[in-house]
Amino acid sequence: MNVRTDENEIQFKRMLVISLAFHAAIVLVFTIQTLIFPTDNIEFHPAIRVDLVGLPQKRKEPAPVPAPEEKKVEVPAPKIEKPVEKPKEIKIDNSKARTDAIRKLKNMQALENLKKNKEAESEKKTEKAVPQYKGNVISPGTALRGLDKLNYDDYLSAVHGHVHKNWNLPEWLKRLDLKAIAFVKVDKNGYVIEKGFRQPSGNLEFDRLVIETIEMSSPFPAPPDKMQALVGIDGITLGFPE
Amino acid sequence: MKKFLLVFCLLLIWQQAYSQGQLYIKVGEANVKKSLLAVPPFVFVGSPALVKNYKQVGQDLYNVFYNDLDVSSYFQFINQAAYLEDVASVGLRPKPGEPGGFDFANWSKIGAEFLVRTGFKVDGGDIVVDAYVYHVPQAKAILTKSYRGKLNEVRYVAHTYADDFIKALTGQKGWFRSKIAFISDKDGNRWKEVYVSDWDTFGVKKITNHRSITVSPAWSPDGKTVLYTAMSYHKQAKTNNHDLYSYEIYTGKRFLISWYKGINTGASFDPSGKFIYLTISQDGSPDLYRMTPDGKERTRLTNGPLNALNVEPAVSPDGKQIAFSSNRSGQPMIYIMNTDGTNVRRLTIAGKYNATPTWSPDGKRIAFSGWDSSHFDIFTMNPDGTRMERLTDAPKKNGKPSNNESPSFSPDGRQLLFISDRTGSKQIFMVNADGTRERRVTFDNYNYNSPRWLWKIPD
Repeated sequence: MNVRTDENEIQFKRMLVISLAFHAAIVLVFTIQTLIFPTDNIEFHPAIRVDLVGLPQKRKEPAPVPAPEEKKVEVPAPKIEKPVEKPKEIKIDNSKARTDAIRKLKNMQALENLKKNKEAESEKKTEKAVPQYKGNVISPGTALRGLDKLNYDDYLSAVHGHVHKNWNLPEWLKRLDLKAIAFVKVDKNGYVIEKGFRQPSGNLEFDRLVIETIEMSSPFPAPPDKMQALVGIDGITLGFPE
Repeated sequence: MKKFLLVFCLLLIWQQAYSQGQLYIKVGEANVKKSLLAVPPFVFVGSPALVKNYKQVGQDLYNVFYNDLDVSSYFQFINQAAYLEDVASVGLRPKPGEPGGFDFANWSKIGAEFLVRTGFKVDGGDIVVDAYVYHVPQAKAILTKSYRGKLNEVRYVAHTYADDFIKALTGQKGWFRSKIAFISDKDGNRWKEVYVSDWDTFGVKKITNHRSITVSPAWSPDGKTVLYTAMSYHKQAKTNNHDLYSYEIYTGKRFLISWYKGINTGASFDPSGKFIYLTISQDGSPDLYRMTPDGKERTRLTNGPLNALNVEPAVSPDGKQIAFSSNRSGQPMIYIMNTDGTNVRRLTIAGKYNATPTWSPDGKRIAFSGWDSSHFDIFTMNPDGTRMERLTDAPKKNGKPSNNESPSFSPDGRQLLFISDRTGSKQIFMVNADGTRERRVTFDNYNYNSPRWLWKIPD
């Protein structure tokens, strides 16, 4: 029994040695092959996710800016009933929300006015008691809130759109990347009462076109009541282009 | 520290002055308009009895000048019927400086922003041109110059005049005296040879006579050499091979640069002119190499992967990057890498076949021809692959899409030449870099290929 076990063990060891030698030989062969016959390096590139994408369509040519000489007396054209084809747009109707917001702001402002009146009355009462001197008077401040802020933003947006519509430069001038800062003062109806430069570009043609843009933009959108003094006295500063 | 605080306080005060209590509106980028230009007929100021063909000379001069300004896309021309002055009966300069001169008011009334007044005469076989360009709103001359040239150089004189006008307007050189190289079968046989000409394909000169197929012309940055590939017969191997040649424009000398087995093609110079980049397929797969212009030293830049094609290298104007096309991802697409072959990035994923990349002179755009469903069109994109735009889409006469290929930017980057088969044969066309005004440049029935614009402009 013991003799048989020894033979098996010897047999196992022999096979193990043969197996190890065989594996070593394979490793040696491949090592020598790699050293003598080097293969090309395998390049690994980062994976790119490729969606099925079409090339873009050509943009439609922008309509040319009408030449000054082409300005003629406009004859009312007959109404064209043909519907204008436009891609369907999903519009969010926020007019109701806006109306609600304005109503709420008006209510809030009414409350504020009541509060101010009350405070004014109480101040009047205490005026005699507390002497006013420099340092103890609270300034009303200049920050706009509520409805005033809304009107302010609306007016800025309207003026921007109105001026930009008339802001045209020839390409050769636009490529020079010039900048100018102008100002304009308008009356309560939006008509220009004064215009000029805070900082001209230095290029005569560019500056001429800035002034021409302001002139063509007159009348400006009429300023809200509370802003009439601001735009009439301090004026509006216009950055061409920024 | 005190100085710093002082400057800071001053800046703060200045900023406050502008921001407090004032409405500040940034108007934004201007809309682009064309300047209204009046170009009355050129006035002959010599003696008609002495020069028989003065009308033809004047007409040629006018037509070339007018076409150059039209191509520039800066102007909208005022119809001559709208002129308030009889230009033939008033002087070339304004009154009251010149008695009998023209009146600025007559040009201002019709909205002219620029007025060109030109007189010419023929003097002993030379044409002499007195040129004036006025800015009407400011009532001042922006160009006053006299030109003289041989009668057979009328076109060159007109191009020079147009170049000077553009420089007076923009401060940058015009490109109307620039040259182009292209491949054509203009000889009327089946061979395709290399030609050079003015930008408008006048003054054509054939520079090869291989009686073979030539492809891929490329200018050296100094405009003295043109590289091209021609199919040549190798006697020893008894095979046809695509070999790279260089041709010296001013000496007429020709050199064989690269003749490795397979293709040696798509060569382009780097901006310094010290290296050329090309595709060589000696080792089986077409790969990109950098080579000295004499062909003696070369460095391999790409190596597959997996036998992929790497072709059409285009070196960026700063000499740091190469755009090229490769099918390593399956379909031919545009890739970019450093000029030492590192940092390879794929730029296009859209379309099915994108090829022939070329850089704009400022290095901000790459143009290429792309195939999406049925035909090639010209596209441009940023060097990172963003903001891709299609520039061409004109169909053939039968309404089917045309193929538009092989773009090349003008020296100022505002226009591109390309090849289109919209008229039947492959003709040279031009389009503005924003995709407007596709217009035909060649008007015959021959076939053209690979127009390449030389960016160097004569002084």
